[in-house]
Amino acid sequence: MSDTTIDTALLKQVTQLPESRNKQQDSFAELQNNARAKYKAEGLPDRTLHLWRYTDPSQFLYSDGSESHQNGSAIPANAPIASGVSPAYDTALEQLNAGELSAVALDNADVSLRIELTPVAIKAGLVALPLSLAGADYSDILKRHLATEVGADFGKFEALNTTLWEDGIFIYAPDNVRIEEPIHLLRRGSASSRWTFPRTLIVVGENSKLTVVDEYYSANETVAGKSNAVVEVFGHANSEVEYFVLQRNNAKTLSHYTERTILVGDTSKSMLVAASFGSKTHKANLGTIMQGRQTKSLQYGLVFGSDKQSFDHHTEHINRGANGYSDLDFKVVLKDKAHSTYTGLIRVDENIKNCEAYQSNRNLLLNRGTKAESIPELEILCDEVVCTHGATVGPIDEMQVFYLLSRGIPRTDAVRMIVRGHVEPTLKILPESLQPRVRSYVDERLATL
Amino acid sequence: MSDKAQNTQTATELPPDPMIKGDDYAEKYGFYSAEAAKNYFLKGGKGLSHEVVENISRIKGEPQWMNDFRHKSLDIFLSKPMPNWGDTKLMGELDFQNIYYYIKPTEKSAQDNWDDVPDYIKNTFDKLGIPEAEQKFLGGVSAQFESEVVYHSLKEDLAKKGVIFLDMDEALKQHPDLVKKYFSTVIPPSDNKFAALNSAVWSGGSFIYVPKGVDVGAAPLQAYFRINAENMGQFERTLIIADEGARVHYIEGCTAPIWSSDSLHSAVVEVIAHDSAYIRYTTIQNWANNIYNLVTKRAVAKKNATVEWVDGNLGSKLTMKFPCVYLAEEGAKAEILSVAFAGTGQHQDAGAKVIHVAKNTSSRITSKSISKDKGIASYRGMVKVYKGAEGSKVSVECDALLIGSEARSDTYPTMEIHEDNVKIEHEARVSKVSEEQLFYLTSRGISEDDARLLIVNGFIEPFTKELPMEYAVELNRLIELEMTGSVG
Repeated sequence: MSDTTIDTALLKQVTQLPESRNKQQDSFAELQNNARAKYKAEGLPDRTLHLWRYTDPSQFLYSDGSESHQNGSAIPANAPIASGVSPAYDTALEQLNAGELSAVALDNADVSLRIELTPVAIKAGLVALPLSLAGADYSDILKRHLATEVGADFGKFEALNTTLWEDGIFIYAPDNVRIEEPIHLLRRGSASSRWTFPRTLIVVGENSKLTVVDEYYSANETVAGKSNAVVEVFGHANSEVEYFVLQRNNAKTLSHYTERTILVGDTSKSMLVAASFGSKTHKANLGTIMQGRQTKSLQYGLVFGSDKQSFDHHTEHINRGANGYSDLDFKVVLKDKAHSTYTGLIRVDENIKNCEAYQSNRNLLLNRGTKAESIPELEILCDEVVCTHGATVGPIDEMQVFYLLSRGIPRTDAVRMIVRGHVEPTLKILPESLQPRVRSYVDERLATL
Repeated sequence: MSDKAQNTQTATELPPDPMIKGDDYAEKYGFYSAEAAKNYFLKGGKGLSHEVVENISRIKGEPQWMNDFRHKSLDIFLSKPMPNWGDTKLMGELDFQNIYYYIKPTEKSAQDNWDDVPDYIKNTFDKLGIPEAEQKFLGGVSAQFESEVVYHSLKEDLAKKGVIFLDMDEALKQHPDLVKKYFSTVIPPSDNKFAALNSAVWSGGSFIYVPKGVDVGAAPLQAYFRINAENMGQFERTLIIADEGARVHYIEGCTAPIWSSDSLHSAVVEVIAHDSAYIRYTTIQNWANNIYNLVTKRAVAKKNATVEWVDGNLGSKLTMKFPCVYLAEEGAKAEILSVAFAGTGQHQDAGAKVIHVAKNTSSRITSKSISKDKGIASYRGMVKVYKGAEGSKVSVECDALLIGSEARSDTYPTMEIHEDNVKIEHEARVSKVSEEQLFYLTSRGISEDDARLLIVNGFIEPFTKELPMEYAVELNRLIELEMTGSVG
């Protein structure tokens, strides 16, 4: 399957990086050198603290050792072109319909990054470029946003991404640009087991609106891939941004993923949905910093683990502006010997009044041998707030199963129905262009019960 | 330091086994001449070393195993780093070398003076209506509390049933085998830095043994019963054992503020409930606001046993206290009920831990915290369900009330669930006093201050209703005092 399945006739302004890949522009040199120093200087994260208690950080250390990565993007000369089949990636590609999207970025770690936009989106003013080419026209925007939140000082592995990122993706909606159809980012990892460092910057200007769907796939079903991804999303005054991230790597992959949405401007809104199905070990850190006043943030999570997969998700809602509203619903389903850790923080800073923050984490354990850890945290430094969180862990409700059995439904089907019901509210939120895939990943896991 | 040299000499000159002579304190602790005691305790008592630990052990005339245990514990204490979680800033201010680790009770009254007890503490005593003798005792001034006689008959009654209720030092002397059998089996010194510290320098505390089938649950055993100067000690060591089918309710502490010049209090409490036993441990802590109160409390519940912690935290500068129940055998139950009130300058870092290792065990945690003005209240909890603990049920509820715009409330619950056939529920809620409730009450002609007090008292009612009446009344009065002048 090639990258050209999509009907490009409808798309214009193709940006494609040559296969040799450009070196990052000098404008990033200082940023990356600083991050490099930080990565080297900083010790491993403290395992006694919640964030790393359940996942060994040493596995995310940069192990390729090649200093040829010095300036970021160079691919080792002997890197093979992606071989083998990645059914998940191909299906995703097939399902993309130009009528339902405004832009698509095909980021194939071993080949190239290609970004295409629909004429409608171009006309509306949408900007989507490889990060390395964005410096020419948007250096000011980059300077004010890139790595300002998730950069050298964020953490050791975020510093690593900041110094080694490959051709990142820059998506920018200038002020008053409202794009209804989603922008799809489709990533295919390397067919060699080298580390890849995807990097994304999304900037939504005042009164603008964007929807981004970000999907991560392995190069094929067998390679033990390694990825360290960083995404930063900025929402300016009165903007709306929806960001969906779907991770469906193969079960041998090691993935580290950090995302921050910063609602910089007043009355800005964001929605973040993370659906994780793949990887052997998936460590994800997602958060929204509500800096402006009267911002609204919704976060949803869906994890479905099987076999010996290990998921470790952290979410944050940080209230730094008054009158914020946030809600979070994180659902986990585990079978076989899968392990999930969820840590979630709501923080309301001093004198940040009239915030409302809600958080719920529900873990469904389908059989013995599964493990779920849940740590929902509240740090409330102001009295004018309403904050709640709730967490549950347990098996499927036998009463529900009994009810379905009494209607003549076989047990396995009954369990499937109940699990689908558990995840359905989250699935419904997804854009229609993404729903069929996520549903199929749920069904794939429910097939063998 | 010349003091140190002199000190060493005093220590080496100690006779090997000098003290276990009489039953009363005058004989027991008056063994040395006042002069020698003064030299030792006043000059050499500060700071922590193997020498200090050795002296404590020798003065108490302890068996060799306890002496070894203390030294081993000190090594563990010295090797362990300070916790890197919680209020590390406040903990960082602790200076372990600037603390008296053992002061002879007979010396204590000479050290403290009623005039030195701060006025705010005295005023609170008055407002709570506490008799003067008790006031002085609570103020750390009087070494003896006059009410011992009152409880004498009660003590005899217990003795007839075979109940052992002594202070820990005395128990070690009278029942060495029993103590040795259970001591440190629930909380080993390696558990945490402060448990290690307590293990090295412990002194005082209660020892309770309730024999098979004996029910002393109706009238709570109170720490007052065995009153002596050490029951308010810095490094209490309490051990409670309820044998099969026994029932006991133990109450420690009181609602009146306790003044002490000591800056660090670090107790270890071990509770063991054998098959079908029932133990309730009620404690209300109201240390003065200069105290660090870093306590390790843990219980083991065996088959069908029930352990209940009822834990109130009102005083201290920093409290770190997470009562724990280890549900070791099938059918064991735990209930933890805690209330924390943090005013300006206070950090109440309290919570609960429940470890399910056996089938069909159940636990319920209810935590209520109030942060007022610049106070910080944290709930830090842990629920762990091991594989095989099928049919376990856990319910955790944390409610926090904020009064004042600078108040802070944190919630850090941890749930580690390694078994699928379980039911785990956790809920937390943080809010300020509801305007609607205030409006409703004020519309009935109740002043705003009274209305706020009513709401706060209603908020902690699930806790107060579990207390003996006199405690509940005192607690309500105390909350009233704390709330005076609150602006919400």
